[in-house]
Amino acid sequence: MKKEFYLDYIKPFVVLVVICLAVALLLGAANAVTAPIIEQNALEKANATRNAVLSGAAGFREVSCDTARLGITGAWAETGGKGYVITAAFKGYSGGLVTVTVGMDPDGRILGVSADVSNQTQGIGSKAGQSAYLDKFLGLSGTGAASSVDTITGATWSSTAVKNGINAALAAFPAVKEAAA
Amino acid sequence: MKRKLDILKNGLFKENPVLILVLGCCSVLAVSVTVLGGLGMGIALTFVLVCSNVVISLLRKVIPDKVRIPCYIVIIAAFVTLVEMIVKAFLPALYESLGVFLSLIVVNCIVLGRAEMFASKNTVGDSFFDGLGMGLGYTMVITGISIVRELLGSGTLFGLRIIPEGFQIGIITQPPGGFFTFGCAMAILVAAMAKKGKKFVPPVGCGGDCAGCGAACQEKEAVK
Amino acid sequence: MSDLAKIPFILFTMILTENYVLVQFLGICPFLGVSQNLSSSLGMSGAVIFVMTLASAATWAIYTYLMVPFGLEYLSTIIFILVIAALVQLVEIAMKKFLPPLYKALGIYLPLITTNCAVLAVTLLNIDEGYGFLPAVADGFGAGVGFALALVLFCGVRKALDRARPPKAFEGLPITLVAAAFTSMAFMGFSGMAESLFG
Repeated sequence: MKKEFYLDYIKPFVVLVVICLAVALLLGAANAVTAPIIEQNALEKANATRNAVLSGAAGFREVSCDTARLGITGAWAETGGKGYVITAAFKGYSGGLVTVTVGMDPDGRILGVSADVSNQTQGIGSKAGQSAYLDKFLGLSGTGAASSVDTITGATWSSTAVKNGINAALAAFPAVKEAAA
Repeated sequence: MKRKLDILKNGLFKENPVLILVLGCCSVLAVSVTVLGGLGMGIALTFVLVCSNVVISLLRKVIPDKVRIPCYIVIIAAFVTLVEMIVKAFLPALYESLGVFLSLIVVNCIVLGRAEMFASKNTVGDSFFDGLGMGLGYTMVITGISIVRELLGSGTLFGLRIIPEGFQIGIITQPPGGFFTFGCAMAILVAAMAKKGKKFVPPVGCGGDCAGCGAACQEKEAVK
Repeated sequence: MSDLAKIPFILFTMILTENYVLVQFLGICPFLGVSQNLSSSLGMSGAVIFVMTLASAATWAIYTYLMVPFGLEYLSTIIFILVIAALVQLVEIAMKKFLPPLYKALGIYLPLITTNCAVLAVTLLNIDEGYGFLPAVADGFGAGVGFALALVLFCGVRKALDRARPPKAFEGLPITLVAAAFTSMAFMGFSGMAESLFG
């Protein structure tokens, strides 16, 4: 009776718990190794994109202001006073977020745009991330100015997400500038 | 040694997990848009399959029958999480393109099916080669399908342009193209087998019961 | 958008434009496996809707109140799959005891759901999207209904396929996949609609 009880209840329980513990330890260790690298990667990537949209930037200082409701995910001021970088994320095709990074001069004119469309359809939605499209937004300024650029036929979702992102950045610009000052 | 080679070949051809057993087709359809994505997914799955097969085979005498499925799931999930971390840290671009399908290796029928059907009953060495064969079989098919889809759909291979812009068939990279390409691949296989005088009727899914599916396959084997 | 305002949009996109089966390729195994007749399609769909909604709620709560405070986000895959497995068992036991008629209808499909990749996917994607509790539950429910819609529609397509005579090599699964391609193409047509309705 005792032995059966052990085989039926105790042993399965103990084995499962031991396996779970071993797994948790292993993954905890792996996480300790990879987490800093993942964080570093994200930092480097964000930095590289910011440099690409605001060329010649010396460095960036994060600006905190309450613009999350516009879809803004981050705002930075260039330390040399060259301008600002604002990122916004909007839903594109099939639910993937399109993150748009906009570089602006101190007057709010768009100097550079970059869009991460890696989760959009290759060859279709990805067109919304190419410079042929993004360059159309250069020089625009003022709330809602991006609406004047047409969406890409066949890639409406992705290009609308890009436009929405740029419009959000333009709309948030006054608040960001004020917060940075 | 010959036995090991047979096990390896079994996974690659005779019992190819994707085309013959029709398992784990979700990820084959979803990530075969680019060759790099397909190849990356194949390698990730092969890694998980080999590791989980080996560990489950090592523990096959320790794991009580009653809790074997939860134990397998925990072991498989552990390796999947490990792969996720490694890919995220060292190949961030691949991580982006595989998306949630990397995590979904946990519920990939091939992995759980092989654990239940092979690794839990065979030696460590055999299980290693079974995992390797099945993984490579999967990689072969997904890479093949993604070559066709990237070439026709985007006009590129590994991101390099082969077909001039404007001549690609965009729909092939879209979801319908995935179903269509996979269906055609299977039809080609059926036709090729028929030419060799073998009749092959692809099984129509397993109803989602992966562990049971493995058992069903085994019953078929026993009948043979 | 407030959480409540998001819900119609989430339901619309999950059911039509981002349909799990036909657009996102999640849950293909049961889609091909049980769409042969209407009664099994309905049974499977009911079980999936039920489990997806419950699983979304349970994993969201566990993630927010247990995993985030302890910094265990990296264990989400492994914890979610265990939660789903346990949940399916609990639902099965509870249903058997308290709702025998429902158990009779859905019971045999419940154990198959643990390894349905759509269920794990919806819980993981809820977290990726950063949804609140209500949107997460709506997401789970919508994904389940989308699965049901695809399954039931495709069941009809297969009925028509039974009478068709495709080329020899395409008989069986290959032609079924090609038919799925066309069904999926029909769902692509919805993508413009979501934009004009909610954009």
